[in-house]
This record gives sequence, structure tokens and C-alpha cells, in this order.
Amino acid sequence: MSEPRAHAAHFESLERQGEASRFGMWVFLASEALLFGGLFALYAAYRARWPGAFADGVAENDVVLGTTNTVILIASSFVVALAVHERRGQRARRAALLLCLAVLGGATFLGIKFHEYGHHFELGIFPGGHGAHFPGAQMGAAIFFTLYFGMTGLHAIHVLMGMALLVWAAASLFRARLGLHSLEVVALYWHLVDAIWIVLWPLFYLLRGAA
Amino acid sequence: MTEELLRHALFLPDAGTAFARRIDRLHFVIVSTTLAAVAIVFVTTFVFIVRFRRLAGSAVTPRAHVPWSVEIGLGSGLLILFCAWWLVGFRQYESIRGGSGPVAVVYVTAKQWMWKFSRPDGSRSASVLVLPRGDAVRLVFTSRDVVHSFYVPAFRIKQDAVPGRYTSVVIRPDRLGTFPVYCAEYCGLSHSRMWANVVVLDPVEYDRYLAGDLPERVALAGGEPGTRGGIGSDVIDVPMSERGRDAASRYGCLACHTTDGQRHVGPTFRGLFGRQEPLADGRTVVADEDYLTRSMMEPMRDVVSGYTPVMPTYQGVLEQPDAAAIVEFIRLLGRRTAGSGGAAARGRGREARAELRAGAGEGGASSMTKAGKDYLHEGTTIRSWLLTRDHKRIGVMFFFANAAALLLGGLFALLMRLELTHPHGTFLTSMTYNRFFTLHGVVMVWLFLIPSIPSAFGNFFLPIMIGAKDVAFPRLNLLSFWVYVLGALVTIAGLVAGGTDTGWTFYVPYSAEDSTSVLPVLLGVFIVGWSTIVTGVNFIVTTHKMRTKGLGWMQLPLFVWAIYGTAVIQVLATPVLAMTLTLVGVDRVLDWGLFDPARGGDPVLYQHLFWFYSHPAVYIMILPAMGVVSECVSAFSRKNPLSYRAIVWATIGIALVGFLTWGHHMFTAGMSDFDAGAFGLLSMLVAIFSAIKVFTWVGTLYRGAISLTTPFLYVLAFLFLFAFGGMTGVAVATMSLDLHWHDTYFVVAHFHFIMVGGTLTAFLAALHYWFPKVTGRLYPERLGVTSSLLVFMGFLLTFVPQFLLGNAGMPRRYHYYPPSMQPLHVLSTAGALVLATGLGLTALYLAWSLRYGEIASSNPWDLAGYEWRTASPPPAENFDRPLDFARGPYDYTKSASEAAEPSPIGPGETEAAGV
Repeated sequence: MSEPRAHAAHFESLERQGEASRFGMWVFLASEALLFGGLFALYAAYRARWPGAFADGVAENDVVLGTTNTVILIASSFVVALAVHERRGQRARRAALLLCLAVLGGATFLGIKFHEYGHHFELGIFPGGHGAHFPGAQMGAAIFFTLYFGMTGLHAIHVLMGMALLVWAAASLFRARLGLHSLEVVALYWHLVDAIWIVLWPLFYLLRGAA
Repeated sequence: MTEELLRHALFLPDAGTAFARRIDRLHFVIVSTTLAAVAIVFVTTFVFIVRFRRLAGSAVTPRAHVPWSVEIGLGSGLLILFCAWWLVGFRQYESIRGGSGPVAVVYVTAKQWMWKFSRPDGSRSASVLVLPRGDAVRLVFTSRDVVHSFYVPAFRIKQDAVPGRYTSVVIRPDRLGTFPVYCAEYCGLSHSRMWANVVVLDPVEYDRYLAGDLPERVALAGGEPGTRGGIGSDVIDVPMSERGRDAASRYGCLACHTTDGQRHVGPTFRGLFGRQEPLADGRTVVADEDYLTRSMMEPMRDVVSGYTPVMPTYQGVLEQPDAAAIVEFIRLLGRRTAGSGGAAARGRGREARAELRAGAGEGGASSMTKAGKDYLHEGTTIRSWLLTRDHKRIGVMFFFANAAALLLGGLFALLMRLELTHPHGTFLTSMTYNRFFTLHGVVMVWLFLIPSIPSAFGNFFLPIMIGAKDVAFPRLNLLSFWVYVLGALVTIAGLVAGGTDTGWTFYVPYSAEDSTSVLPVLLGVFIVGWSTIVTGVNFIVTTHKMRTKGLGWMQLPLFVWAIYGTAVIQVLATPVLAMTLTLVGVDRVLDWGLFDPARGGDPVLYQHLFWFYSHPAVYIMILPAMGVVSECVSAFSRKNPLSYRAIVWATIGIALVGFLTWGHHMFTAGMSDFDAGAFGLLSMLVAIFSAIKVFTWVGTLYRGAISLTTPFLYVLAFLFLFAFGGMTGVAVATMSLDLHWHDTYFVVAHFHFIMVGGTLTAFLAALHYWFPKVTGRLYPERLGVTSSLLVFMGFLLTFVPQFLLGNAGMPRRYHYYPPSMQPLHVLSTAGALVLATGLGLTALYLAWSLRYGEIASSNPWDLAGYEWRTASPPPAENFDRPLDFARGPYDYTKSASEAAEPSPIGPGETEAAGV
């Protein structure tokens, strides 16, 4: 988030400053991963406790929509990587346009996600075991769907934050005021959003069998 | 005979089972080893101090090095010893879980605030569990509401009763008598009155009891443990009101009616007698003897307006003499209504906020001490402080904010200690007491201990010690401070206004269902957590990327290593806490119930997640303290560390293995034996790293040139207290012993030895050690020595009695306790007052020194450390000229003049401070 040319006074060089920002983002991403880590641990423990309810819960989700979303996120990550490549080649405008494309990808992802949520609400599935679906469901179904809403919801918040960063980066690129290092940091964050989804996808869409 | 003697010496209650006697033997072995180890540390240190004291001119010491084989040999030797303890403890632990052959079963149901016992044949009892002598019995526990813990000190066992789970232990009482039962897991308002008794009868009497023959004598065993009651005790001489108090407690009246004027499920007993009570149907009635008796027998007839009609009838349960005694008890409780605790707490909150303001004001004052262009005078407006990006100013601001938190937390600790001078309390209601210990814990852990050394001293010195002009992300650093302030204010406001009473651990389901407002506190701690993470990221990147050219990892001062290790834990552990607290918060707002047994959740999982953060958090507190100690030991013995590498690797080891030991906080929660065993073993391993450090520090003194300055005295206090606290940590990690000690004052004393005896003494050592560098002034050494002695003595007097209280079976978070424990509580309170005096004196003379202290040279202690090679106070960019890092920070093999590091102020001013 610095000016492209001059480095801050306390750094030896711009190169060093870039390294520091990238490394700082990596460390922060480790922290973010642990934020989800607690929820993954909960998922594992509760799945071991209620395998049937979890398998049924996964079957309740639409694997086509989930997989479409996975493809969209991976594609958007690829687009962001391309944008970094373009910025490296001093083609800031093209980089900015690519970022806009990635934002569009994020928006589509959220659109599909909210459509899925809406479908769940229609079926009477709400977080916390509220709704018409649960009185007849087996023990553990409430936990599964609470985790589903909680984890995908937290991920959606991260998608939103990533999109905000992408929009900011694109706007700065259009005005030619974004350094390569800052773009790299933003791109790293977007890749994390992608990486977390790649773990959520099997947990909530693919693992249908009672292990 | 010897065993009985030792038992009395250690305040252990008489052992009622063979298991208890086996545990006691292990106890004796471990306590004597602990005392021996501490004595060795103490005597060796003392001998070195006398033998190698600094004489005039002895500024040069030989370079010491210890081969790897010694460190590794010592470490493995200790590991073998600890593993032996673990093995014995593990086998004992197993022995009460399984048990061979069919045994009789008693189902124990816990609910706020009562124990109920039932047998497969359908017979039931409340608050009294009758067992036959010599037969094994399996107790199977569950809870109707929150987590409770069934604790029989005489049997040395404790087992949590968890809603949605069944847990069990097997006991075989072999001694006749009546043994008190406590609830050891905090469960709300009347936690300290959740009593029961175990009555052990000989088999003949037991059969008669089962046949319904002995109800009267067994019933007398109910009531407050440790006071009276039990088979054979004569109740005729007891005043009627006392008998009434017993009966009210025994029949569960006090679970719903308070005696302190607070409204609860039912009207308070205090002031009830003779009062005009408006009834739900509009009539009014005078609460006289008739009315009170009628209410016990036919509670639904005259329900007082505004209360839910939930009281069960006692017709046929409560005998007439007991009913009369209860009425007498209520009559004597009088008409006086106790003052509202809430108003008092709010008043104290105002004081606390005033303190915060005063703290900030003092920070401003220090900037006007002297003229020059050091960091303190780079700008003197308030704005130049509040919006600074200078890591030094941010460090100073963090210091004052932390000191304010320490003051607030300490104030509440003192009030609690004063309250506990009497078994039934002195001036607080149970509700207020519970709020106080929550406030004390939350403020001390999250607002003082965790940020204290890293955020204040780490911020100030980490960049200087690596030759950097600032941290990697100065703006984020400032953000971290303001996020901390915001989080602290939200937390304190939540604690004071909402009156949170969950304890700092926020255990579910209590924290999810509790009627006090928990949400603001969760939010505040969550916010403070992000401040911790941002600071951690900043420190990690700074250490990696900002080191000056040519400064390799193995040339870093040990304090930098300590802060680095801490930062790794901060970054990796804190987000898990943030997530866990968020889940509790969401549960309270949106009723998600992820830990709710009714929906398939498990409260114990919350505990796993909580301790996954909170055990490493202990190392967030102690690692920076170890860094300070490493610096001070070398500085004041003028000696390189006995083994630099050992300390570095031990730091890394603690940071990593510390993540894998959290389960030892949950030995009583009903983990599988395998899990418990693994966590126990890893806990032994992490202790080895600390032991290696202690060995290295003591060894560093050998052939040094030791001067007894205030910071060094604090370091000695640290060594002694940390050795003892650490060894007791190994003791409580020994699984079978933990069944007795878990959630008692023993654990309270243990972690205060580590946190206060460790972190606070190191904090004070750092404060005195770096005071000249930070402020450019010297502090009065004589006062420093005096108050360090006061702090040390006060500390010992406060917490040694608490170890003994824990042995005696005093559960933590108890407002009321058995009168036999009063003397130790009074001693502890006296110690707290001495400790407070020492800290108060320190605050006074340091504040005085800010303005009137002697001007400090750049290197008043004549040291080799990097931070002493720049001016005091340092210039805004830390150094006037590039520093030469060729001479190491612990190189005392050459005298100062030979070291060719001319001080910018001149060698003439370089002399030891004020001794």
C-alpha cells in the first residue's frame, strides 16, 4: 500500500520492502488458516460423532452448484495471477481489467452461494437447528448445517473482503498508483480465499458416504 | 505414621481410600523432589553470587561454553525422571477409570446447585451419598445444566459432570466416616455452596440403610461440609437458627433463595420475615411463621408476585423440627437488605477509567523531561504521541495502557483477598464476588499478561536490537495499539456494566446461558486478539526482514529470539480463540448451539478449542519473560550465556511443543485414557525445555562478575519462583495427582507462580533494566532493592498458603469455604497487601524518577548489549550512526575500552547506576 517508486524510510530498499509485505501477508494467511482451523477441527470431531447425519447433510447440498463455484473461484484465482504477470510487464491497464474480471467471478460465486442459502431456507433449514426440517431429522443434522452455514458464511465474508481489496487494487491500477508489491499482497489474499474453498468443497459437497 | 505426619504437614485431608493413599505417596515423592530441585537452584545461585560477586575493576569475564553433551545429558536425565512420574501417574489414573468385574453403580446427576444420587433399584437421595466400606462402586455422572465437577478431597478424586455425556470413576472407600463433596468446576451463583457428603457405613449398617432403616442419621450428614454434621455428632446443642441454615442448605432452599438480599429464583431470605409480600393474585400477606411454613408445604397456594411458581412441595419431605428451624433461620436474617453490588462495581469502573486517563497523562508528562532531539522530543504535542508511528513511542504507550490494566486487575485481586478473610465473606455478595474474579482474570490475562512484555518492551527494543529504524509495518503497529485500547475499553465496559460472571474461561454451556451480559466481553477479547495478531505478524516480519546487514540469526540477542517465538504463538494460536469466542457469541445472539448437547453438540469440544489457544497463551506470557531474564542474567554477571544455542533451541521447542499440551487442562473432563496419557507425556516434554533454560541461567553466573542491582534481584526472584512454579506444573501434569489438584487453589497458586512470579517479576526486571534507556533517567537503587524484596516476600506469603489450601481441598472460585481453611486464607491476604505495597512503592519512585531522577548516560550499566550502544533516550531513528555489530551482545571477554566501541557521550560518564 505504498507509492510505487520510493521506499519507506525505515527500509533499506524497495526490494526489501516488497519482500517484507509479501512475507507479512504469508504470516497473516497462516493466522487466517488457523481461524478456519478451529472450525475444521469441530467438523472432524462432530463428523466422527454423527457420521450418518453428516453424510445425509452433504447429500442435501447441490454438488453441481458447489462444483461450479469451485471452478469459478479457481478461474478467478488464475485471472488474478495473470494480472500480477501483466503488472510485472508494466501493463497496468490490462492488469486492472483482469482484476475486474476476478471481481465478477467473486460476485458470481456469492450469487450462487446465496441462491443455495435461499434454497435451504425454503426447505426449512436454518442455522442452529431452527426450521421445519429438523424436528424429523436425525441427531447431528443441526450441527452439520450450523457448521455449513458458519463455515461457508465465514468464507463468504472473506470473499467479500477479497473483492473489496481487488476493487481497490483495480482502481489504483487505473490511476497507475499501485506498486507491484501491493498487488502481489492482494493477490495472495485472494488465493487464500480460493484455497480455503478447496477444503470446504469436499467437506460440504463431496463426502456423501458415511465413513 | 510418617505418612500421617506428612499428610498433616501438607494440609492433606485424611485419606478415605487406598487410591488416595497411593496418590499421597506419589505426592510426597514429587513434592520432595520439587523442593530439592528448588533448593539446588537456590543454593547454587547463592553460592555463585557470593563467590563471583563483582569486585572493583572486575569487568572482564572468561568466555564460557558448555558442550552439547552436558545440556543433552541433563535434559534426558530430567526427561527420564519426569517420564517415571508420568508412568506412575498414568497407571493410577487408569485404575480409577476401568476396574475389573461387575461393580455396583450409582448415578450422580448434577444440577445448579445440588447433587442427586440414584441407584438402579430406584432409590434416590439428594446431597448425601451413602456407600458401603470395602466395596467398589462406579459413579456415573451427568449434568442437567452446566459443567460441574464432583470432588471428594478425602478420596483425591474429581470428575466433571458434563451435560450430554456420561463420565465415570470407580471408588472403593475403606474408611468409615463422613466426607465432604464440593463442586470444583465453576457453575454460577451458588457454586461455592454446591455441597454434599459421602457417608461410608460398614456393610451391616449399609444394608440397614438400603432397607430404609437409617434415614435420620444419614440425613444429619447433609449441610455445609467442614463445619459439623456427620454420624454421631450431637445436634441438640446447636442453636435452632444454625440448624435451620443447615436444613435450608441440605434441602436445597439456598439454591433458589439467597441469604444476602439478592433476588434469585425465589425471594431472598434476608429481610423476608415480617415483610408485607404482594401475592400474584393481588392479595397481600405478612411473611410470618405460619406463612413461611405453609409456603414450604403448599408452595403453589400463595406465590409472591413477580416470581415463577417453580418451588416443589416439601410436604412429607421436610420434618416439622427442620421446618421450624428454617423459619427461625429466616427470622434471624433480619430485615436489613444488603446494598446493591452492581452500583458499587459501577463506581469502581469509574475509578478505573480515571486511572486510564491518569496513565495516559503520565505518559505525556514524561515527554517533557529534558530537551534534545531524542524520540521523546521529536514532537511534544499530544497528537505527536497518539498518532506516532515510532515503535518506541508505541511501546511506551503500550506500557502505560498495560500498567493501567495491571492496576485494575490488581485492585480486584486485593478486594477478593479481603473478601476471603472470612469463610462466609465479609462485604461482597456471591454474585459480586463471581464478577470480581471474572474481571480480575480477564483483565490480567488479556489486557496485562499477554501484551505486557512483547507490546511494551518488545516494541521498544526489538528494532533497536536488530539495528532497524523501526518495525516492518509502523502504521499497523499504531493500529495494533488503538485496536488494543478499543478492545480493552469494550472489555472493561462489558465487565463492569454487564457484570459478567463466567470466569475468564467462558466455559459453555454456562457462558451460553448465563443471564449476565457476556457478549461485550467476548467482543472486547476478540478485538484485543486482533491487536495481538497484528503485533505478532509485525514482529515476525521485522525479525526476518529488518535485521541490519551482517546480523545473523545466531547473533541476535536472546530477547529478540524470545519475542520472535512469542510472535509465532500469537499468530497461530490467537485466531483459534477468536473463532471459539465468536461461536459462543453467535450462540448467545442467534442461538446456534454448536456446543449444545440437546442438538448433538459437546461442551468438551469448546474446552479443547479454548485450551488450544489458552495453553500456548501461557507461553505467550512466559517466553518474553524468559527473554528478559536471559538478558539480565548475562548483563549483571557480565558473562556470555552458558549456552546461547541451548536457550535458542529451548525457545523454539517451547513455542512448538507448547501447542500440543493443552489437554492437561482437561484430565477430569472425561477424555479417553489414551488422549490423557499423550497430553500428559507431551506436558512432561515441554517442561524439559524450561529446565534447560533454568540450568543455563544458573550456569551463566559461574565465574561471572555479579552485581546485585534491582533488575537482577527481580531476576533472582524469577529464577526461584519459576523453578518452583515450573516443578509444580510438572506435578499437576502428573495425571493421577491432577485429579486431586485440578480446579483447586493448588492450580491457582501454580499458575500465579508462573504468571506473577514469572511474568510480573520479569516485567519489573525489564522495567528497571531498561528504565535509563527508555527515559534517560536513573531510578533510586535503594528504593528499588527495598521494593523488590517486598514484592518477593509478599508474593511468597500470598501464594505458598494457596498451595496448602489446594492440598486441603479448597476449590477455586469459591466465595464461601469451610472455616478450617480460614487461617491460610488470612495469611494469603496479608501477603497480597505486602505485594501491593511493594508494587505501589515501585510506581511512586519510578514516577518520581521520570522528573527528578539522575540523568542517565547512554550505557549506565556498562554493558555490551546492542541497545546500550545508542543514546539514552535513543534518537527518533534509533541510531545517530550505523552501529558495528562485530562485538556480540554478550561479549565481556574484553574491557569496555578494548572493545573499541566509543560511546557517543564519552567514556567518562559510563559508570554503574547509583549503587
